Amino acid sequence: MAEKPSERHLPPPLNLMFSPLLFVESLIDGLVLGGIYAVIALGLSLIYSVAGVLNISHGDWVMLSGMTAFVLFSSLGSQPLGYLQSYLVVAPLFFATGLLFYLGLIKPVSKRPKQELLISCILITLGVSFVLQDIAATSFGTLPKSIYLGLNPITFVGISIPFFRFATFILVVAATLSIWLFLKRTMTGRAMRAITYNVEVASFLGIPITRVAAITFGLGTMLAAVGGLIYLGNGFPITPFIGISITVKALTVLVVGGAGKLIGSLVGGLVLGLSETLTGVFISYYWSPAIAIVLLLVVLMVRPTGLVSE
Amino acid sequence: MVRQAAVSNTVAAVLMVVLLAAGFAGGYFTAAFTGTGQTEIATKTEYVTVGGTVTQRITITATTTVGQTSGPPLKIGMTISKDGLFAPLTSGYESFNREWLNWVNNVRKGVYVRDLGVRVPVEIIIYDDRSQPDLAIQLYTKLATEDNVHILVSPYSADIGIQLIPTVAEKYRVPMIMAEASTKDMWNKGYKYVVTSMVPYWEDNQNGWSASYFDLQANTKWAKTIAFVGWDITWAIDTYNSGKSLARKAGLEIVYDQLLTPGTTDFSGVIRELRRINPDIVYLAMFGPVNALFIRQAAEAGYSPKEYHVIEYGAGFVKSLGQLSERVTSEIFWTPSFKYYQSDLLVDLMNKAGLSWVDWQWTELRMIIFQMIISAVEEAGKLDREAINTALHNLQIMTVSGPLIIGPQGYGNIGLVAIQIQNGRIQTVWPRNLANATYLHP
Amino acid sequence: MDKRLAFLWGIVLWSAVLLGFFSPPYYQSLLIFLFIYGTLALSYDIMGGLLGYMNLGIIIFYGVGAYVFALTINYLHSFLSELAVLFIAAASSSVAVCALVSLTLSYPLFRVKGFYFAVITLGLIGFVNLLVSSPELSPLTGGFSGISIKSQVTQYGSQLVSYFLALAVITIGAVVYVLVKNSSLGLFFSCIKEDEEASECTGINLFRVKQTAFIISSVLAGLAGVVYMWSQTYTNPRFVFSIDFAFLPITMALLGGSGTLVGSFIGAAIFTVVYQLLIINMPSLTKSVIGLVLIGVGLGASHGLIGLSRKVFSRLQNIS
Repeated sequence: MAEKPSERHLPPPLNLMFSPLLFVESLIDGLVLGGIYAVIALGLSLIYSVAGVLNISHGDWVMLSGMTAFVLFSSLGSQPLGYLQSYLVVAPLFFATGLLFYLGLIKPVSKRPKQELLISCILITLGVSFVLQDIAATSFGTLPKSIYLGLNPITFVGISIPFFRFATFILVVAATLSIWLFLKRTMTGRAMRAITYNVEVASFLGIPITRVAAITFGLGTMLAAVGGLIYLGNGFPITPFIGISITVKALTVLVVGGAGKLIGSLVGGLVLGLSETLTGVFISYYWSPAIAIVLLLVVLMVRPTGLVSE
Repeated sequence: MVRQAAVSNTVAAVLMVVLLAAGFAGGYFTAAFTGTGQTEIATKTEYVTVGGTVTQRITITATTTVGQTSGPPLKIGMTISKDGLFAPLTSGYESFNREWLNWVNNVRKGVYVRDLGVRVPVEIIIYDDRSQPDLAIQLYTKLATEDNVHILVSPYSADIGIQLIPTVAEKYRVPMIMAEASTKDMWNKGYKYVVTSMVPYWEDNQNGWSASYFDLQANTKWAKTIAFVGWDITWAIDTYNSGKSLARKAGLEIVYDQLLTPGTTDFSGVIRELRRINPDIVYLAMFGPVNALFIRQAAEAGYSPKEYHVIEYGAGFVKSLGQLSERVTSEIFWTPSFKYYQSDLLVDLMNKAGLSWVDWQWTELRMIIFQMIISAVEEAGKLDREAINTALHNLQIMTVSGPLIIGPQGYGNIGLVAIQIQNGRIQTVWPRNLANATYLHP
Repeated sequence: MDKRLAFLWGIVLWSAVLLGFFSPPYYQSLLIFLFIYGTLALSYDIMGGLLGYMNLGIIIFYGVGAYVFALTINYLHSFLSELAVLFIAAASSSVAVCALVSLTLSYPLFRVKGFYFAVITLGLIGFVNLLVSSPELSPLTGGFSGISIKSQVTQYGSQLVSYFLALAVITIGAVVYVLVKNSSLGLFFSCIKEDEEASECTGINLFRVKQTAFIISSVLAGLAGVVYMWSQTYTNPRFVFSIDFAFLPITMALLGGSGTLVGSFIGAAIFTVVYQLLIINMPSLTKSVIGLVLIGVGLGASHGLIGLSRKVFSRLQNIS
């Protein structure tokens, strides 16, 4: 039987002309997705610029926090409240773990010369990544885990947004704001910023590099954990093996936005999220992951230090 | 300094050779996780007489009074994935294998080999392929050349499976039974050592994956429009394409048609569009847990169509979706309501293995494979790969899903029936002679 | 090269040849992968270890080598029937395409260095994966269902031939590596690795040197891909253009010892032979064990296992 000519699915971008609300919803989605990327990338950026470590296991911490939250959620009766409560457990837990990670595994090699340090960090963080994946696979199993909060979407003016997307927006703003305040107002925060500018001068000025670096690692891991919680809350599935692709996304954000500045991660994340969503809508869902590399190339050609730079 | 470097390089080179040697020695002396039966003394015979228009195989009992298994074991080789992409879908097979092995060795008392005059025990050798193709090839090579298995069973993934055919099955001339995944390119190259029980489900006729479902639609005619969403990956794409064709033949209008990169788990864009297009049926052609994910994400966005059809539901579908799983339709090769042959045994084995048939959707295919193996070996009369291969290709037996006849290309005729989840239970709703519940639709 | 060392390597090569003839098929297939992965590790290390540029996208050339080889052989086999000629023609076209691609890519890619270079080469993998799997290109590449060498050709293949091809390729890789390392080109590489800005002042054409490194390593990776394709006869984009696989060459090189020939061999040996041993005996914990080894090596000896053995060796020397 021949194809009926009246099939109503219009190719993009015509489909948008008939539905501007669809476009607005896509924009909001892109910003929300970008927010998740931003939070995760911020953690990685802090760790890289303050502690000087390229943390390949970063995405695996996101995964682990999602897994832990899932278990907590299920054992607390699968209620939205249980999900919120998991923040109180997971965030401090991962802060502590990040701290210990730095003190136990990174500090011993931190005195090595630059080339060696890089290689050691790659080996160590890659090793940690493998171990985390295996632990997650053995303890939690390999079935994809996702939660369903069962909350009604928020509708206004003909636009409908899933409840948790909206909550994500608030969470991302809260997280970014707190980090910003921390960096600006607290001693440790200012010490972190000093190290980002010039680690030798900072140490010369008497800043306890090790302590600050350890705290940064803890913060960065905590941000990864929060990112994982938000990821889970939005209904995305977690398997033990998603870590590396999340790390790659975070790295992309770092390059696009510019490592070392909070605004950089935010802008980079939002730009990436928006581009992915809009590519999906305007061009095709198939190619939306490809936009990341296009962005990378464009940024590296035009502004190699990132969209937000000194 | 240079000399030191040179000498330590030498040391390292020697170390490497030692490592290699150790690897070989280790591989030689270690065994995979196998299962062998223990023997009991009591004798038991099994006769199954079946009539009908199809010549059916009768399992032969030993004409001697020897009541226990002896002789060289029948070896079956396979890999499952305990890690990686396919792990969620196959890790249950280990316990099923164990229970079946226990049954075939201790209850059935092995498999009768005419040439040896005894009933031999069965051994299954399983490795973990970690969903990695390179590893799978090496492991299957080991199974074929070191462990000397008589029959191979494919892994879950068609991608890996299709690669194994020329590199292991055809090369070492070991019969291989394709388990869950089958695709056109396996059967059009003149391979001689592969069979499968399933129909060529990529065809858009009565063999199609969702043929039974669309037959049901043509019969009830309640729906007018249908949307297709799928992953562009082997098997899913076969069902997707044949599904579209069958949908048109059933008189449905396709209003949405979106193939996604395998691995996509963010469906917000698709859901947004579907909400505006509002089709009657949404056909999801992805792996079971991913279909569940889609339904959940859609619900969170406030969208649900009049009916979902999924090509696979898989583990934990009903449990994780709860109320959202009501009225979802799918298809399967067997349900407990089938009364052909050894259905009760299958249910029993699954219970013992701690698997719910609701969760482990394709275990029936594994059961059929075991039934095929027993029959082929007893037909062949010897533990010889060529003889077993010939027997497999000429197989005409009764299975849990009905009569199986292996065709000239190597694939069989076991098809799927339409099911629907009602009140948390899976009910067969079509064809009428096998249905045990009425199809519910708006 | 030290006469004694050359003699030792000669023995290793000779034992490899013997192993080819006398080892059972399973072990032979293991060794084939050992050689292929070893070549990959070497190709990574030319840029990563010698030049100091972490090319995380090296496997792109592995995949491209494999794909071009299969495409060429499938196309040519209706004109040529002599197997050796077919093979050489297809392998040469793989080499040519890899060289061309790396030549072209070097212009945009070398505008950045270090961390950024690593990230962008990593990101390229995903892009190539999408490209090769895409429905638009699938009439050529077979899309997501992959590509295979026509059976009329593969029926003549044998594992023994694949073994010696693999051995030949890794030998070529090793020779190239050593030659480069000990040549003036290698000297330029280490200058750039040490201090790129200072090297600029010495008047060497940095870009040409880097480009040469890129081309050499891409060609080597492409050859590894050719052998892979020949021995496996089938591949698909998810096998060769995956991010997980991308970390294999760098891990092998770093674990064994970056910047040394033997380092890559050791790394490859661990990821084929030792990995299989672990998989067969304790599948659930394999990844953790490898992870712990990586952590241990990272903590103990950033020059990989080779560095570790040197440290131990010199300690022993000091004691005596």
